[in-house]
Amino acid sequence: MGQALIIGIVAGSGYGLIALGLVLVYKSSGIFNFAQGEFGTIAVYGLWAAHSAGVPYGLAMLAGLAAALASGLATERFVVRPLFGAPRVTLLVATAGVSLLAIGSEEWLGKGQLRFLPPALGGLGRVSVFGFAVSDQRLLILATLAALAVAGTWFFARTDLGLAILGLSQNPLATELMGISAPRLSRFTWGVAALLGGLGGILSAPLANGFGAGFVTLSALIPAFTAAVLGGMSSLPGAFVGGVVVGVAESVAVSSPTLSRHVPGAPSVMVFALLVTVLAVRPRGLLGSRTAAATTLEEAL
Amino acid sequence: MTGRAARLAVVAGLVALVVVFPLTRAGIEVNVYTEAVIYAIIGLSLNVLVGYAGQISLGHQAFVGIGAFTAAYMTTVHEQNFVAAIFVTMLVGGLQALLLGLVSLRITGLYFALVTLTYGTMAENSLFNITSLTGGSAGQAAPKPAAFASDYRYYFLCLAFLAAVLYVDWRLTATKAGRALLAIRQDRRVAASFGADLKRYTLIAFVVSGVFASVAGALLAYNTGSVVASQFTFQLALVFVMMTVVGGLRSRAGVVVGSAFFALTGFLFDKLHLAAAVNAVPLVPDLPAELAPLVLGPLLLLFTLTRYPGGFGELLRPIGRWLRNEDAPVEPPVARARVASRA
Amino acid sequence: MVALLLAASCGVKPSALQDRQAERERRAPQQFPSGFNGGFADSDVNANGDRALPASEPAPAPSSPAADGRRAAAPTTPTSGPAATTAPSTVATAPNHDPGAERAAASETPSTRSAAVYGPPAPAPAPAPAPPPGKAEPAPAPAPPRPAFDGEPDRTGVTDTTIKIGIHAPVTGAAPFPQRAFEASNDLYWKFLADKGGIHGRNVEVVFRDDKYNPTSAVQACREMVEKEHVFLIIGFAGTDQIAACARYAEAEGVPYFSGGVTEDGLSGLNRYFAISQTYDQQSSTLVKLMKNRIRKTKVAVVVIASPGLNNTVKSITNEINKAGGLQIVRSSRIGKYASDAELLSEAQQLRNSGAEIVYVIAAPIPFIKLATNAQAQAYHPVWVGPGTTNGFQVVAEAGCPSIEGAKFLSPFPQLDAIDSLDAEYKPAYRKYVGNNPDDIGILMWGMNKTIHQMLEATGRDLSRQSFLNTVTSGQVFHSNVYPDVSYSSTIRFGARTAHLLEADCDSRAWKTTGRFIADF
Repeated sequence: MGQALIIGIVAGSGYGLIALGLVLVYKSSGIFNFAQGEFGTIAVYGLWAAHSAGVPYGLAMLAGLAAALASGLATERFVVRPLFGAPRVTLLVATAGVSLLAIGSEEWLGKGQLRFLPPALGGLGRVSVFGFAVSDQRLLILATLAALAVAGTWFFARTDLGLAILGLSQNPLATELMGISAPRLSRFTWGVAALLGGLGGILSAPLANGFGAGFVTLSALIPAFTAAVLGGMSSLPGAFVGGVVVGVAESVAVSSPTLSRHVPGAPSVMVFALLVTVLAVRPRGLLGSRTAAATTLEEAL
Repeated sequence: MTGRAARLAVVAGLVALVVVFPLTRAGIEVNVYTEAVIYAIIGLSLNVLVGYAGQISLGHQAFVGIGAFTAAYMTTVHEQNFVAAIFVTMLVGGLQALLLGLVSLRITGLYFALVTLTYGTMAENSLFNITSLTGGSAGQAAPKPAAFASDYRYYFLCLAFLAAVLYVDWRLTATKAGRALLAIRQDRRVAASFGADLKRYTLIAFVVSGVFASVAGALLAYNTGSVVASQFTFQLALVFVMMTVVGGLRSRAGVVVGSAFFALTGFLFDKLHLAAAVNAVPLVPDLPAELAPLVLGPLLLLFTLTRYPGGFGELLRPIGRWLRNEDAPVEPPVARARVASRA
Repeated sequence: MVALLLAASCGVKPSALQDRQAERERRAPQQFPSGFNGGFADSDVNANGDRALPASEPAPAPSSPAADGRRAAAPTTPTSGPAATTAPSTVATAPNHDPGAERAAASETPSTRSAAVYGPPAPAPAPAPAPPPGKAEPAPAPAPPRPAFDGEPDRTGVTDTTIKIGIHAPVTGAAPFPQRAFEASNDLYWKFLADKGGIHGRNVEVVFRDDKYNPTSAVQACREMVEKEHVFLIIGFAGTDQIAACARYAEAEGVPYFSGGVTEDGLSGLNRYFAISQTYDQQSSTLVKLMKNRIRKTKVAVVVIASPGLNNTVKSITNEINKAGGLQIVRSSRIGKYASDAELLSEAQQLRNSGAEIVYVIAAPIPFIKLATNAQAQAYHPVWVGPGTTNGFQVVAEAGCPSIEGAKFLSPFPQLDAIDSLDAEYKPAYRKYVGNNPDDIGILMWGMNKTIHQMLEATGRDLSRQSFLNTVTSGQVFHSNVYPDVSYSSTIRFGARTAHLLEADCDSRAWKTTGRFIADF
């Protein structure tokens, strides 16, 4: 049981990283960004391409992040900006289209082949909790997630830029009148979200022992969304907490002998149940604010 | 040629294309056309949900899959005949859609989209892997009914189903229930003020959508002769959404054409030797035919959403009007200005 | 009773043959090399480098080799050397059912495996080993005689100059295969052969399809091959669900279907299905001996993907292990065909908790690699063993090392280190027709195609599906010296008796062929 817990926490931190990007985009524009997972996968492919071309790992990571950034900015320019003001659902479908395009392209250009990445940090035996050896790479993810969650919260609460972004999401016209450039803010938001997604992808991919087309979307997007909702769609620390909870729930489902024997795909069922429960019982999530939930649910129509 | 003769000629041409042309092709090719017809039914089912009731469903592959597995199960394990299997399929499909519909009453909009997404993935990973019901990873056989065992007959059977679905769809929107649904889609508060019982009509939409989708799933299972969980991926759900949106929401003709187009993309890609055109571009690897819909499709989707929201439906509208010999509606100048400012 | 015994003994499958050989070895060890010494004792090797099966058998020949059919004294294989009659030398010229069979059956130590293990559920006619008289076991249903291959000669796919065959394989979905590898080598052997004159004046054309590792796509691929391309026969590369689905389709369409050995369930009753390498069930007895006599550890875990077609395989493996004695099953689990990372991580953890020293695994390369790597990350290093086909590929070694160090898998094909001594023409042909860097996927294709070549060649110029199938089931041994020898009869469809042993050598990140054509340790 203890093992399930620790495995869940490390897996959940991967989800949390993706969820951070989701929350960021949501906080700033009210959009559910379906392409967040693919920002991650594109980064992974970028990393792999650079690394197998001989580039040192650190630089290759930067190359991956650059690829993610480019795709985020492209999405913002060609998909989000033209649809500014359209119903949220339309944007959801549009970002879903982006993710499908990305998956199709990866399948095509990557020739549908599974590939392998070594981890950034190779250490294995440093920490062992409940008999489960937590690798350095996993510790890195956990640490990154915590740091980013803290940084993000500080950003939105304390910095002018953060406040401007929040203002843009709540009242675009007023923000424009204040002289703040909406397109520039939008670019900034999507760029950062793409970087967050990319970071999540390149840190998690080596642990998956093999990645293919659509890797992050297929393995982490839905749990990440659930994590974001669970934590409160507008709460960055909530993304962290939500990620851990989803990870632990999945891990418990997988390791419980009764569940895994009788219910195929128990983790998926667990995630679904978690999502429906949260939305039915406490829509604002664990750490979300009441007002935020009210406005977003209304807007969501 | 007079207007009337021209109209008849076009209709005759369409009939020839849909009815006569497949008869001249090999059985295995007709399989592809049948799949296009089935996709049209799926598109229509999603259109009821998205176009009429305004509910986004990113897990529609689950609706289709449940129909497919139910039919396969009834036919193979319980050895029921076709009619009984379809009947049970409709029941099961409608029921599970109803359940989802009840969920949608509490959880709306984007969050509901998320729920449907998770539901679809859960169906693929869990529900469709219950070996006793679905055959697990080996899948379940679904032999065609003996009367329609030939590829050609089965094609016409599916066409008949499509016609039936179109008819029901048409009646639905022509009735009070249907008009209420459309009103809901335009503006919920206005619809509520008219006294329309939102809840009831939304649930009706879900059930109709579920029934259409599960019938399509059953037909799909019979078409390939077997069905397995791994067919019902998340990408498939997105393809369904794509084809409905590109087809043009609320336009039946558009949805039918859009869905058929998506089903046939890979096939057309092969036939028109478009792969050669792609290969001619340097540095780019070959694009296999089955990936064509996944690459070209989303591009079309994004194009439709950003530039041409009406999709195929919008394109076809004038043609439809011409065929029905109607006059074009006069657009009020205010509407035109608004459209201009949004562009 | 006599009739039952005769009928059942005629239905004895090679897997039962293995078992009987095991019994004989236990009784008369001095006749056979004891233990495995990493190669093969010279005395057992004939000119081809094939390790002979235990050749000297007691005079009252057990029914099994007799039932296996009349071995042709000199199979007509133009490409290789002396006829490889390495099979039991008792050329039973007597017809299938001879009185000796009854006596032999009576004197046999009964297999403790009940017929239920081998008999698939009722729908398929199940050949099963017969318990000798006096045993309390219920007598299994006698195997009904298989319909003959007669009627109007069916020459689909055959013209005066070409024979068209279809091959389907899980290019995507099961393993990190480079796509190009399949395209390059699926018809390499036939190109090579065309230069030498083909088969009685005909060349073979290959139609290749990716079955995407799922049964519906597999059936679609097979449908295309049959209905659009009109192939003469189909070969299935690997993948239990896909092979089972296509085999059933091919049977309904009257198309001969060959595949790498996978499960026996649902396939043993098919008339036109042939396994050209050992099935998982057949390999289990070899692997059990490997675990017991060579690896010499006792705690075993069995991990098999959750394909319903493998349910009986799991039972037969379990029985085989328990019967052998000295091995203890500490964990037996099924993992999803598309197991998620979380599932595989959890499984690795539980394997570690169970203390298993050997893990017997039947899974596609992707879950296998992930499982092994997760185990490695938890500082858990069992010996991974398992049957062929796909885990013995180079891509698995490259991706799985160092986690799979010391893994031992059986394989129908030898690896790159051994191919030159078994068939020196492979690498030059590859270089000539494909390019540099001959790979192991090509070896598998080469071996499969070469075996089929022997069968086509033996059929002669008058080639129809009937004449072909009659030749195939005549009991002749088809010898490629790459793939194991196979022979079939009117009742036997799982025709291989041996396999190669591959061991993972992570220093060179490659599989090494440490055993060739073996059945025993």
